[in-house]
Amino acid sequence: MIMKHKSSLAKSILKSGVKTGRVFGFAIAASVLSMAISAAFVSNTAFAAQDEDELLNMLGGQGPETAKGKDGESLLAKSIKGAQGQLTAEQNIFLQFFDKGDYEKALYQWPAAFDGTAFAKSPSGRALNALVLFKNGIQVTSLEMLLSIENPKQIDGYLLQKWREVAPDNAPVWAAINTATWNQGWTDVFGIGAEVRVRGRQVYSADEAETVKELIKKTQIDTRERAWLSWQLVIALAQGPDAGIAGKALALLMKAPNNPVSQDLMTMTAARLLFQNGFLDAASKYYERVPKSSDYWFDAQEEIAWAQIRKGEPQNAIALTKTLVAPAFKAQVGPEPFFLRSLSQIKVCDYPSVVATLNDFRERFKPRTLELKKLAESANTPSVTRLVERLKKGPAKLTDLGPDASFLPRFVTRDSALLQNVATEKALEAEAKLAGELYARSLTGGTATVGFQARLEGFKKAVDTRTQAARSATYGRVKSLADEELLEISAMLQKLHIVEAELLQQISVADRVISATQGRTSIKTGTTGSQAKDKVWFPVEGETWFDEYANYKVDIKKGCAAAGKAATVTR
Amino acid sequence: MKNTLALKILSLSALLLVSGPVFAADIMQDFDTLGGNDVLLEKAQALNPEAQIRIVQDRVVVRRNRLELAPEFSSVLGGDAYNRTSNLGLNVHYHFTPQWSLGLKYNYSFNSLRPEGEYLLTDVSVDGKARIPDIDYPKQQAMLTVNWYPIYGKMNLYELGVVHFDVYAIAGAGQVDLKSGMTTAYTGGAGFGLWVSQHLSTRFELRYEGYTAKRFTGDTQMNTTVAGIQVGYLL
Repeated sequence: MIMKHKSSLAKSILKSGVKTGRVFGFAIAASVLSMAISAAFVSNTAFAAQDEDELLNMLGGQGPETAKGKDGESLLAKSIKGAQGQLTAEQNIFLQFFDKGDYEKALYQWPAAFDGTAFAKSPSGRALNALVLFKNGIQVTSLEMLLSIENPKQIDGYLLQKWREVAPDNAPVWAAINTATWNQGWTDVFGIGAEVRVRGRQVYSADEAETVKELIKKTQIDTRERAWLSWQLVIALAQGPDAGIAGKALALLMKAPNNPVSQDLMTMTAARLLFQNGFLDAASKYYERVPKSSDYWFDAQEEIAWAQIRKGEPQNAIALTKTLVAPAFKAQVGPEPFFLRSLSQIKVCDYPSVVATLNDFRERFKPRTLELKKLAESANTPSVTRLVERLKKGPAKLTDLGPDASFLPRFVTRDSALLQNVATEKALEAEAKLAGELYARSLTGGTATVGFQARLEGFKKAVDTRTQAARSATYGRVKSLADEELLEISAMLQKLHIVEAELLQQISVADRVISATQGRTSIKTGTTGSQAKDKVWFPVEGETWFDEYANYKVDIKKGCAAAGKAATVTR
Repeated sequence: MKNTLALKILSLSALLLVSGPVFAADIMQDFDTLGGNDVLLEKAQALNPEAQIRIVQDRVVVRRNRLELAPEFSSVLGGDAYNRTSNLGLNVHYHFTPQWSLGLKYNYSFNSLRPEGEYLLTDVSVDGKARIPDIDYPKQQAMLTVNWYPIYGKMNLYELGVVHFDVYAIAGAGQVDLKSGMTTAYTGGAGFGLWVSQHLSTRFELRYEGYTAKRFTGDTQMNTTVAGIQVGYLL
């Protein structure tokens, strides 16, 4: 436009020169002077015209960096106008801040510009409000605000485009979004990737295999989302009649890249699939792959012991459970190994050891039950606080919790719901802190309108409340885990009472067993402990050395047969 | 007994019927009624199987087809009354199995006079002349040795770590370079090998070493005891 002005003026000057060409000498000098003046005039005129245009444009709601439509009008202004008609002065100020990328001031300006307007209540207004918050770093809260809009199609296209830009499907914020906030309409806005990242974190029940399959179809190959959903499918299939398919799916998953499921858990699951289908030796081989450093190692050992007892080798179950019931592992091991141990001991008629195991169980789990009951009533304990702080730093093992592990449910470091709660709490805490800082800065950085700080303060409190709610959810989950462990202890206690009853029953007929087994010898040789070529043997003495755990071997002579001599139990 | 059993079964049935989350009030009582029955324990002895529990574990350090390089410092005890010999050397052990290894031992000797030797050099009381002791001292030696490790054990170092060890026998023969020239030497003894880590070893060795030394008066059989310490690196 400026060039055009210059060109037409130059033409008129040239025309003027032709007209005055007859007075040649003076005319040239005059012409040069005239051109210089004209050029200066043209230049000034051009800039003046530009400024004038910009001012006019601004009055029309167009900022210098605004995305404009074909008619040159700001798309955001158009969007607002579409909802409410003409823009107010405060809204113009908001638009200028927004268009310049000064989102913090835009946030401060929001109440003055939109409070009480029809636009603020419309889906587009809510989306814009959330967008301003998102741009200020309040990402989880704002995205959940956006997702709470029931019909995304009612949001202006320009705003949706802006949202797609700030929250692509690989944005970290999706991992902290409440899975319940998603509705299908948002898939059209943010794409399948975002849907899977939100909904894929749900834990699906066994009868939802088809839902999971449908969701898997929407994912891309070798993505974290596909791996997580495949894991959900494996779990669902494993609980149904399709164990074979579950096994095949698991085998594929174990080789999949970007897999969020721990290798040890997958190995355990493979072993469990084999176990539940009766392939006990194959299952044991998988269990043995779980390293001692894993939190799953105790579970693996316990399940190997179950495999041994099902194979009719109770002496091996006794050897394996000797490690599990060691006092050193009281925080890591649940009540079931005690039941398994007593069952194995009763199968070889080692009655004194059965009694010892029953007593050990009582001594171990009576105080633990008291601790868990306290936790089930209130999870707001120093141990839980330290646990949450530790989990906020990232995944942890039970051993990382130190002495606190004894006062917490033993699955706290493995529970995906708890870990998710802590991650959300961490994100919201950061947002609450940011909201506080925004509030503090708003006192000096806000607009001339008074009273908007109260609104910001209200928002800060709302984020704080959400953070508290997330913390409550974390406590709730810890309480649930405590409850679950209490139920487990209670169930095992009942089973041990049955073992005790069986013990009484067997002792009552012991005389008959003794007379029937006189002169008979039975030997059950253990096969546990090191299988290495160059293994070493040591006797078991009163003192337990830490290198000896999981290396016990038990041989039983004269199990369930009359003792020919005074029995000696080497311990 | 029958009454006790019946009661137990009844109480169990009741427990099973009431099982579920409503356990909080009763669970502590259930703990109290579990086990702890001394009479029961006495009766339980009637069928008492012989249970032998042992620990079967891997050797901490694998010593099968493995090479060990072990620098050594040793001191000769006994031997020549006038001469003190210390050795700095290097041992190379090849472990065929944890029980057997073949070794090469090289020692370079450092000799000094004992107080008796010094005294001879300064004592002029007999005929007004000092006497020079007749010493055929060793300069260096090389031997081929065989080690047999029949006894193993382990030590718990204040819960910081468990170290496996072997008590071994050593036998070997080789050449010793004396002041008078080369001669055959043979050795036999015992040692204590600590396998500190996969690559670090320590050995304490005490062995007899014999060779024939030449004196002015003729050949003399030298019967020495060598006490040595080795710190090795297992490749």
